[in-house]
Amino acid sequence: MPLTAGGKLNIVASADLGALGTKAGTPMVYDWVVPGIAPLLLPWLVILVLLALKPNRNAAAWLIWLPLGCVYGFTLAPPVSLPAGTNFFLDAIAALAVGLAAVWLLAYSLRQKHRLVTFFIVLFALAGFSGLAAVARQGLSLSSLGIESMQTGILLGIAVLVSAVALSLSGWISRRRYRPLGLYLWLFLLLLAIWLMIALPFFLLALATNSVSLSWSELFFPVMAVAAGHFATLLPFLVLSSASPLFRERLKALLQVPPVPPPVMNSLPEAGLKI
Amino acid sequence: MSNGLSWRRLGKVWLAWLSSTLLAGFCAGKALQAAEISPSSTNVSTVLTYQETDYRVGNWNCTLTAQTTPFKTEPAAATGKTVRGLLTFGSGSSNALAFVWQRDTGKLYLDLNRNQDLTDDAAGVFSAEASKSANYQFFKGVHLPLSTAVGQPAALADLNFWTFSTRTSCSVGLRSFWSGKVTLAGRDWQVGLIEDAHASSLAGGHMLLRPWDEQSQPFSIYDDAANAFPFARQIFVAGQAYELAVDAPTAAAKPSLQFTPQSVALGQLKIAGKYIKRLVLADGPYLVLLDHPGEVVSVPTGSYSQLTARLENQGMEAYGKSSQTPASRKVSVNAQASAILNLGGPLTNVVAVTRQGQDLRLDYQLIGAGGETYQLAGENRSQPPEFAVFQGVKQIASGAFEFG
Repeated sequence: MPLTAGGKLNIVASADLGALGTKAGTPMVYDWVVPGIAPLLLPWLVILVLLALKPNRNAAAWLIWLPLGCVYGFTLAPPVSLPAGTNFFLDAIAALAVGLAAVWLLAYSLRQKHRLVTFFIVLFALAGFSGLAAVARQGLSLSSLGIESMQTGILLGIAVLVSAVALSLSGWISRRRYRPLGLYLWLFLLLLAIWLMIALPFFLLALATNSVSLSWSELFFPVMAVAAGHFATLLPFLVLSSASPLFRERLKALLQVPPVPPPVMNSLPEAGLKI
Repeated sequence: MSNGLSWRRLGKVWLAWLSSTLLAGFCAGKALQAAEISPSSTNVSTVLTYQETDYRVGNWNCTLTAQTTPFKTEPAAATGKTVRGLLTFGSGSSNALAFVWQRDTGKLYLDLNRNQDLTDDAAGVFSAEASKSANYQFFKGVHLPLSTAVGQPAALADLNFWTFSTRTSCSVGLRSFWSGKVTLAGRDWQVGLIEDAHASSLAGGHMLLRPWDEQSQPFSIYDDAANAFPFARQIFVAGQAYELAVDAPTAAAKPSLQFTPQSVALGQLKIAGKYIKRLVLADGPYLVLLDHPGEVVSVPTGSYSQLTARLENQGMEAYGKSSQTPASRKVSVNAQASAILNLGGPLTNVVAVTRQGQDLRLDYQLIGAGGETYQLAGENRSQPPEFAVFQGVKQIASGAFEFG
């Protein structure tokens, strides 16, 4: 549909019905409001606004475009073609990436004294920015949401919760010592465990009610795939946090890892210079 | 004088009242008789014979239980993956059949004599049809030795095996049914019973009832709801109500279907649509079959909530999708007033438009006079319905719908 063709549209279906009816159908009048470019740009504008905040006014903060562009690029041109009807996975991944970028940029202000409070603030921030990005992809119109949008919403909601829980738990595990590779591993294991815990009750219910035999591999393989996809979405942001000192501190703030104390300077031995 | 006259007048009035009452009563009796149909004197019965087709008439569920332990005797191992286990048809485990599927060579071995030896069944070796894809294979013309409602003749079936992830599944396309011929109201009909593997009797499956001259045409319990429908014990066809009974068969005898005429109160139904070749009213006191109905027809009184029609005009046919009948579509027929049924042709191409975010979604529907949906028979999928979008008189977009 051309973007410029707004207004009242007459849409006619036609098919040869022989003597059972006329070929051209009844015209359907639809008042088509041209989708604005603003909703599509909104997530990017939000990131720009966050970059304009005082703590982000430096060149290093602009590196946030790298992981965000990386994940968005993946959703626009996935390396493997997904089956029809599963595009909502890509929508959820793209929206989650916007949420993660926003949280990474705001991390300096999200850290609170209590770990639980930090968890809830991260959860709400992630949910808010991801949700905004998801709705923006739908043209900011909640009334026009279809079944695929509902699927995106449900998947995104769960992914946001899983992300916040996994980040919080991995921060708790790394509370004594922050090691990037250890953090990556723990995050993956936590994502896997949490997704498994979410899927397990449904699988057990299916086992109890379904006469068809189900094998455990039918639980583990899909959960493994979802956890791997989720980790792959987080990974560019983690890599950025390893490479950039600014975002390393932001990640530590999110994880509630205590800041590294400045190195203790030993006092120089007194010179035994005697005059 | 005046008194005498008045008595005489009173007598005449009394006589007139009596006569008119009797006349009215007689007429009412006649009218009541007209609104009711009397059973014809004879029952009609037909013996059903086993018939195989070269098309699929229905599907059976099949449970595939894979196992890693080899059977007592198996065919020589082939290269690639081998899946073995039990196929169970219906709910009873007595119909379980051992199999070995050598996926990469496209071979299927069935233990037809159920002795756990898969090398001594000469008729139990099948090769995959056409595609020998590792993940999906199709084995045509398998005679399954099943204990069914009618003893143990084989049922002819096509077996589909496929693997998704680590799981292997099987489905059965049934290609046999029980067929017979009856004469009802001076016309010959083909009757058939399509077995359901889960049902304990033939009456638990589907029934075919169509004019005898259509007997060579393919049918399916999925695509042709006007000809093949779930078995009903009370049926109204050719203007007569019948009670149906399937005679319990023995191992030696063939099953038979008996039509016992019934007396039933009728009401009038006015049909607003055109081109109806067959109209089926179901989910009511009777399963009503009306062939080429006129504008006004008599049917057993009651409420019918499932309405299906098959339309035909100058060689073009369309069948109604009963599964898409709106729940609100229901017709109630009573003896006092005519009910109106808005269903049938002419058909109209319709596009349903919904906005989904940035996209405009167009869904094609072929609808009848009452908004019910149809599908053209013998639809050519290489020529799908098309759409055109106009802004004013200018066409700004066009395309074809995709099936799915």
